[in-house]
Amino acid sequence: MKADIRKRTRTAHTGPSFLVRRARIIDVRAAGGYARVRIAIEGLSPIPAPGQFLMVRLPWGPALPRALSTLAAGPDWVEFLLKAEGALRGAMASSPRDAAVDLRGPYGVPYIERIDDRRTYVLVGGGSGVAPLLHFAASHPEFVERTAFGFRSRDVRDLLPEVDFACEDETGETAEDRLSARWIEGLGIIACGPESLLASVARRHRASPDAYVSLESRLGCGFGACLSCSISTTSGMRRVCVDGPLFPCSEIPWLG
Amino acid sequence: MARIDVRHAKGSFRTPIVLASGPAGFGFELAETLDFRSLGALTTKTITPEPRAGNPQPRLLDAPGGAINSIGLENPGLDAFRGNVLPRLRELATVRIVSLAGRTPDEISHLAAALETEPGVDWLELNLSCPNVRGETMADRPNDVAAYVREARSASRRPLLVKLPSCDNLVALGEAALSAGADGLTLINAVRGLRICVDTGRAFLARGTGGLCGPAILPIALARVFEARQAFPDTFLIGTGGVTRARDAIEMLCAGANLVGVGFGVMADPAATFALAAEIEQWLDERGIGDVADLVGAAHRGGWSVS
Repeated sequence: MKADIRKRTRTAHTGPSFLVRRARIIDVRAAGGYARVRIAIEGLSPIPAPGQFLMVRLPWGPALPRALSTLAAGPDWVEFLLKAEGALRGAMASSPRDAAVDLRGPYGVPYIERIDDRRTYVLVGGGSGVAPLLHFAASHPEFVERTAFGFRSRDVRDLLPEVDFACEDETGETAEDRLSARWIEGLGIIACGPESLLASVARRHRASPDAYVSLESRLGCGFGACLSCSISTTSGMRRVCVDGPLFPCSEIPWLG
Repeated sequence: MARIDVRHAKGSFRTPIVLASGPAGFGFELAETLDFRSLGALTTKTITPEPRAGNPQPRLLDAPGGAINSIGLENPGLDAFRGNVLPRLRELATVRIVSLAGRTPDEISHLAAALETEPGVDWLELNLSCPNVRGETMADRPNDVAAYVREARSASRRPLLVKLPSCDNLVALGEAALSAGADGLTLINAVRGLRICVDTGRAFLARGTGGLCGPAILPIALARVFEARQAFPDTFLIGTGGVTRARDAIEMLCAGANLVGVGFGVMADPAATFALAAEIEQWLDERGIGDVADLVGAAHRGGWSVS
C-alpha cells in the first residue's frame, strides 16, 4: 500500500510549472506571532504535495518571490502557516481578505518520494516548520508514529487547536525535549524548523538510519537554475529546491 | 509584423532577448516547459577551468527593488562542462553564449582554446566583472582587461563579448577590450551591494558584499549602456541590468543596446521573460515601427518619429 502511494505521488507531477498565477487571500488568522493564511487559486495543478513549496509574491511586496511550504492544499486552494515577520510574511499575516497574491509552482521533491517507506517516523517541527509536517501527517498518516512539535507561545493554540505541541512559555518544554522523550530506536525522523532545531537533530541522530531534515535555504528561482540555494553534501553540491528540501542528516556533515 | 531579429556579421539572433549569465543556469530546467525560440540567446553560467563550489550560504538577500546575490561562480569546471553540459546545451533551440572566467589571462586562454572545436559554443563572453569572487576576474584596469581579451582572442576565432562592471572608467575598459579584439561588450554586471542585520550589526553575507540585481539597477545599467553607445557608436552591445518588463527592454534598446540581457527577471518570473520578445513585437506593431533595430540608440538621436 505504501509503495502505491509513492508511485501515485510521483506520477502526479511532471515538468516544472513556470506560470505565475494571480490568487486571492480568503482567510487570515493570526495569533502568537504566527498566521494561517488561506488562498483561493483556480486550477492549481499539480496540487502541492507535502514538502513541496510555492514561490509566493505580493504585488506590492519584495521583488523576488519567497518559497513557502504548504500546510494544506486542494485543487482550488492552498494554506500556509507563517511566522508573521519579514517583508512578505509580515504583510501576508496582516493582509485584508481578497488581497491579491502571485503564486508559482509547486516545486521541490515531496517528502514521500525521499523517505524510506519501510519505516515509520517521528515528525519533529518548530515554529512554521510544523506546516509541511502537518501536511505530511494528514496525507500519509500510515508513516507517522509520533510527533514532537514546539512553539514559543501558547497563543498559537488558537491557530492549531487540533495539534499537540509543546509551548515554551507554558512549561519550558521544546520540540527537542519532546523528541528526546518520544524517539525510540527503529523510528525514522523528519524534522523541519529553525536551524538550531535541525542542527540539534543532526548532531544527535546523524548515525541513525532515516533521520531527515527539511532545509529552508533562501531560494531564488525555485526550479534549480540559479544555485542560490546550493549546499554542500557528501555527494557534492546539491540544490535545496530540486534535490530537497529533505536531506538525510548523514549527507550534510556541516549541520550541527 | 515588425522584425525583431537582430543581425550581426558574426551571427544572428531570433529576438533581442538574451538570458544573462547566472540565474538561468544552463537553461535545462527552463527548456522543459518554455520555448527557447522566443529568445535571442542563452548565456551560460560562468565556466572556470576547475570546478567551483561557490560561496557559503546565505547566497541571496532581499533588497529594495531587487536582491543581492552571492553565488560565487559555482560551476562544474571545464571538463564536466564539456562532458556533461555541452551535449545537452547543443539541443537548445537558441544561440549559446558561453561565459568564461579565469584567475589569469592564461586560464582564459586555456578555456577558450579547449572550447574552440566544440560544437554548440556559438559565442564566448569573458566575465571580467563578477562582484562575488575576491581578487580575481575583476579586471578594473584597462591593461588587465586587454591582457585577458588578447589571450582569448588569440586562442579562439569565436565571436567574443566582454562583460564589464558599472564603473567610472567603463569607456577606458571598453576601449581596451575592443582594441584587444573583442567583438562586443556586455554591460553591466550586478552592482556591489551590502545589507546588515540590525539584530546583530553584522553583514548578512559571509563575504560582506554581494551583487545587487533587479529593477533597482535598471537606471544604472541604462546610463552605462547610453555612455558606452556614445563612446562606441558601432559596437555590438548587450545591455543587462534590472530588465523585467518589455518597456524596460525597450528603454535598454533606446539607450543603445543591440540585445537585452535578463537575469533577475528569470528568477522572479521565468515565463514573463520568455514572453518579452512577443510583447516587444506587439509594441512595435502598434506604433508602426518596422524593425527593432530602429530602436537601438534612439535616445541618442532625439527619439524616433512615429507616423
